[in-house]
Amino acid sequence: MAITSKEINLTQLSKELGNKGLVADFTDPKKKLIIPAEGVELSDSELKLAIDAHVAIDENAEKNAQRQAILDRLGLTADEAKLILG
Amino acid sequence: MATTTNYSWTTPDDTALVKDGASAIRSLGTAIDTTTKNLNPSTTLGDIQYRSSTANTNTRLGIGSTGQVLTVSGGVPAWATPTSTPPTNGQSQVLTSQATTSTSYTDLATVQSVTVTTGTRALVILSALVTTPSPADTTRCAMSFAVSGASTVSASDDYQLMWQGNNARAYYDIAACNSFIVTGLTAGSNTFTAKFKSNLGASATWEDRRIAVIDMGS
Repeated sequence: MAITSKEINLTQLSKELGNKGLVADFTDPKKKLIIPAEGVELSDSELKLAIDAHVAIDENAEKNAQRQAILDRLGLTADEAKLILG
Repeated sequence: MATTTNYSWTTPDDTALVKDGASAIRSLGTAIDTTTKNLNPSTTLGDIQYRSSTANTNTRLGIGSTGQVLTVSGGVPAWATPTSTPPTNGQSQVLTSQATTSTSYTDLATVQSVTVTTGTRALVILSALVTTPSPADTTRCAMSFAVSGASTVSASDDYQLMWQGNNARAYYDIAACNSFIVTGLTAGSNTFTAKFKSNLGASATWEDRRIAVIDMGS
């Protein structure tokens, strides 16, 4: 079990650990809880090392940038676009 | 004097010299009347009768009230108001948003289970707000349950609440529900524990998840 305030991409972290299944509760951003899934052999120290080395990738960054560029071109805010799209 | 076979009504012998025929007929009529009344004591609309402990004598049972059913009390029929006994049931709800990347069924951070005394069959209802993990995959988020206690049943796709992401949209979340009639349980105290997985190893998130179990007898 590990508790961290780091930005975590759980899918990415799982892959960095060799596709080991993880379970997480990110309700409190200052105390993000990460534990190995049932049947996964992973020590607390291995998990902590992986989290220390982890640099979360924002998988939405590229799409968010594309969205913002479109909004800028149209001269709309995100809220206005939502209103139009219903 | 001769008597009849079933009710022993008295009649003159074939060879008897009947000197008071009217009296003999009246005695026979009275006996028949008494027997008939004993066998059919009904007096009122809806009456029924049943055999009493005395031979050839039935007991009258007046009609019951609306909604009452015929049952047995003290070895005889009786009208009674049915008692409503709901089936044994239970449910568990976890509001907190929690995730897993496990490709096999696992507990989430908050283990979620409900214990119900069941027969060999139970209705299990699963529901949750499911969020698929990332923009570019079609991960299947699955919720199932395992049974422990009197029965041992592993979580499996046979009993699965599943939501598959759609890579046409960045993120997808949906309130999903599914229900199952589970058979082949061992009657007794059974604990149903919710289990979760994400088939592609991407992070699947579950929120406001519920598992409800209703006993369905044997």
